[in-house]
Amino acid sequence: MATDILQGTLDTLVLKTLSWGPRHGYAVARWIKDTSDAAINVEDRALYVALHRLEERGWVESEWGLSESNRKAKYYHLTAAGRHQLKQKTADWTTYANAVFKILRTA
Amino acid sequence: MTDQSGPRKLFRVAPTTKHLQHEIDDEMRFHLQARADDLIRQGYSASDAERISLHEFGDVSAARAELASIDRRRMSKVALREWLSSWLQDLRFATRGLRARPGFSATILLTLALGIGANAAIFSVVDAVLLRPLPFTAPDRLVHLWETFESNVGNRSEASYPDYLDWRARNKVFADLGGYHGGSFLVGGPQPMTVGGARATANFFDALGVHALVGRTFAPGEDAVGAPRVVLLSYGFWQRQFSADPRAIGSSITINGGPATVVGVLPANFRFARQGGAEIWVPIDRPQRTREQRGNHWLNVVGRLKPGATIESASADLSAIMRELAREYPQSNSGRDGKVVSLRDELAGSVRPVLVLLYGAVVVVLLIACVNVANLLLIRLADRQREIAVRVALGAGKARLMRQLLTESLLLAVVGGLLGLVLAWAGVHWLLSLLPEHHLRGLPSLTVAGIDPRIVAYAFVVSLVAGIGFGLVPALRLSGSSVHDTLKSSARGTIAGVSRLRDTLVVGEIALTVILLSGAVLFGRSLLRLMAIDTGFRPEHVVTTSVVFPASRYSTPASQAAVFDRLLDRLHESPTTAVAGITSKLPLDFGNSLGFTIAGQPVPDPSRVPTASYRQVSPDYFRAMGIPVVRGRAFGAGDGPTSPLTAVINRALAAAYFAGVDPVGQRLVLGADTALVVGMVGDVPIGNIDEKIPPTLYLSFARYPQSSMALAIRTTAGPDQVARPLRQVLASVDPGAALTPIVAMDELIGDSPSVFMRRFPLYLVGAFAITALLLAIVGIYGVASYAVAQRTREMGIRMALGARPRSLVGLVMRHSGWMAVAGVTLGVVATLMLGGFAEKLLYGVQPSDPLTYVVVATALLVVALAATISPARRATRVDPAVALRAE
Repeated sequence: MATDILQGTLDTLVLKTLSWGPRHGYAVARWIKDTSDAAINVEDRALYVALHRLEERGWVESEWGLSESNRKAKYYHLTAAGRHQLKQKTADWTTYANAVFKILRTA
Repeated sequence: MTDQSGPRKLFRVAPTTKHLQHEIDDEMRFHLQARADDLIRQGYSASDAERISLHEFGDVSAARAELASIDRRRMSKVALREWLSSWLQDLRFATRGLRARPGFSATILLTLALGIGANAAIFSVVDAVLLRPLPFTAPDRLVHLWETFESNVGNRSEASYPDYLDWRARNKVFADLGGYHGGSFLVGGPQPMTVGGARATANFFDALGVHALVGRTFAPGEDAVGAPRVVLLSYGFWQRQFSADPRAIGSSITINGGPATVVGVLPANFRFARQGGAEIWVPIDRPQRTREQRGNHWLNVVGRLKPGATIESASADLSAIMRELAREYPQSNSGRDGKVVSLRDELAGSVRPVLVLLYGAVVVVLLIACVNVANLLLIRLADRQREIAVRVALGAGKARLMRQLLTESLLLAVVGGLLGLVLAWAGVHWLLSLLPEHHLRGLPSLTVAGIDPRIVAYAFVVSLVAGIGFGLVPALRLSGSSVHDTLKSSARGTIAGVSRLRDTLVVGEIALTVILLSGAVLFGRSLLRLMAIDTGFRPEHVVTTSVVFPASRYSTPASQAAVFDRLLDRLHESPTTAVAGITSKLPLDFGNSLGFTIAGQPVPDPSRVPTASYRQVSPDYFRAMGIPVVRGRAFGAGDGPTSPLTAVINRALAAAYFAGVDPVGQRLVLGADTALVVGMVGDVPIGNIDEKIPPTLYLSFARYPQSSMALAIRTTAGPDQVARPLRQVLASVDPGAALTPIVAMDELIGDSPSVFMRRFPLYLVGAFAITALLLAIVGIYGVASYAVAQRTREMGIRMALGARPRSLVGLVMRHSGWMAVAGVTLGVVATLMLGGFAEKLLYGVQPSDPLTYVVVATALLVVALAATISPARRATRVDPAVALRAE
């Protein structure tokens, strides 16, 4: 699957990642990779573009903090609007995936 | 992956773009280091880990750039939102402030409503008449053509038909040329009525680019001699007479006694000003003989320029054609030239100077209103010191405070502007109702004047400009003062320098008022001079109208003369009639001229043939109008169709051609006939009353009758009482005849363009001047009161030290006096500089006339001092003990 993952889907994955609490960009990348069992490997640049665009849209907010290694890092967290978006997009994606699955499964 | 422990907030995201770039770099750096750390933990060396981490990331600089642009967009959105919300806060605060002081706000709103409303009203007229495009296709390509001729009274004339045809055939610059001329028609039916109309060539509407709303316009050939008679209806006529029924097309109506088929209806927005009152349009129908006379000028010509042609090139082309014609037909065309003017100028040109002047006046009124509002805001500013100081202490910057003040001003301006629009709507209706009927017809564009989106937009822009204008005054005053001063100063507001600023504003107000007052006085004196002109006849108690008999029933001269004789006889039997007479054209009605020569004198070169205006009149006409017969006699029973041709001339003709000899007994050659001069009458204006009276020739109506003539009745009663008996008499003579509206001769003079164009602006400028004067009085009074209030302490000290009340009064009055003197001087200088523009509109008075300025200056000085008396007296009632204690 590597790099040609749709931007919209990436947004949803990022929102989901942040739904468990604030994370910095690197943590988001690691988490997506680990949770998908390395099936999804997002290009770093695409990830940061997604994060910044989500902030522009007001679905996430950022603030600077200290990481576990005591370095300055930018943490992102979901806004209320972001949570709502996540719910919406999850529902849409599930419907879409089920529909595709239904067609593919008919031999 | 476990949850990260709550990050420690260090600082919020930075707002500036340099910071943005740094933040992005920090973020990237963190990512790369974190990845490198992970790789080191997996066993890679530090330098390998760095290299791999960088390689994995991809193009870092491209990423930086992309992220930077996203973040910049985000920041500008955030900034905009913040700015909007703080501005909304300002607006809410401003609204609350306004409502807290209803009297103060109401005064300002009223002042602004008057100023902006008057502006919008006048602008709507200016827009309708001068700015809006004419309702034709590509109207700026349309022109009007004239022939010019030195010895003609108006120095320009209509074209003759053969000339028109040659223009069409020989020109290289016009896409099309069409012709028209005016007329009124007798429309038959159960109630015959006279209807204003016009005649046009078949291609007239095509040349203008006008298509019929219903049906069609004229077809080629419908203007030929003997063609079946057709008629086009105006939209209004179709609505009124046919209830907008489409079946009107094809029906027949009786015009001038004969049937004509309705072929089309013109669009609702069609207006052709020179025939603005035209309700029906018919093709030209002059007989073949007239159409061949090259010396008979009766057709007005309009044209459309070819692409690439200009008015100058068209004029040159026309002159070239006229020169050819002068060579080919020296008898009729020698010495004649042509000229081309833009159609827009032709239709509105005469009104433009007046409208521009009125617009200037109304701008001055708005300026005065703004000055007053600025003054009021300055007072308020002084009172708000406490509030301002608190806000400054709470961290508001100067810029924020200034913005607050400006917001308040803009709010006042916009609300005032909305109120002004309401006033303007009423004002425009009222203005239009004041105009006499035929002015509206002559300028049909006026009917579109009204409050529509263009005017609303204009009012909005004016409101904004005004708001910023008077809003800057307190805002700049505030920025100029130091915050410490405002915190320190005493309870009674004394922001330094405010009083001097207010004085300056009042001086400006007075200057502007001087301009308006001078204008009003100059116009007033013009009008008085004009009305004092001896018109040469006695218009009091004279009532006029036009009588139209159906041309088909009275087509012979004998029948025409007979029916009018019958009418005049019956009128003389009526008790309300003292004397009645008829004429082909009333005084102040321009037109109809012919060339003549003096019998016995050498025939002059065709280009210098003398011309005179001519009128056909009945024997009693001169008596009815009160025109004195100075020598010889008027016409009588002996001047009928079979007797030798006689003529009566006016003084101007005699002075020009019979100087030193008795004109009675001389002979004039008119074409093929020779007329004997039997009398000389006094001069009577042919065009406007302030124009030179041309040589005029009167002929006996009995010799040259028409089927419609103007009627003048010298009556013992008023116009309203004459109407019914007159209609009854007319009906008894011929029920198929009709009258035009009955108007007193006095009213005709008062409504004639030269008088009206001075009377009407006078009313408006006078109203503006009075408004300005009232506003200036308020301004002076306010400033004087303020000065007294400010100097209460000083007054108290002076009185305690023994000053007499009188000297204090003198102090205050001198202050006002100096402001008035400064304002008047400034105003007089300004008026003198602007005076040149109004020169054409004045009559008998120069813009630099000293008497006017003396009157205005004196009036303003008196007013200024009078406005100061009350505050001055208050100064004397100051109790020194109280004043000294007050803080």
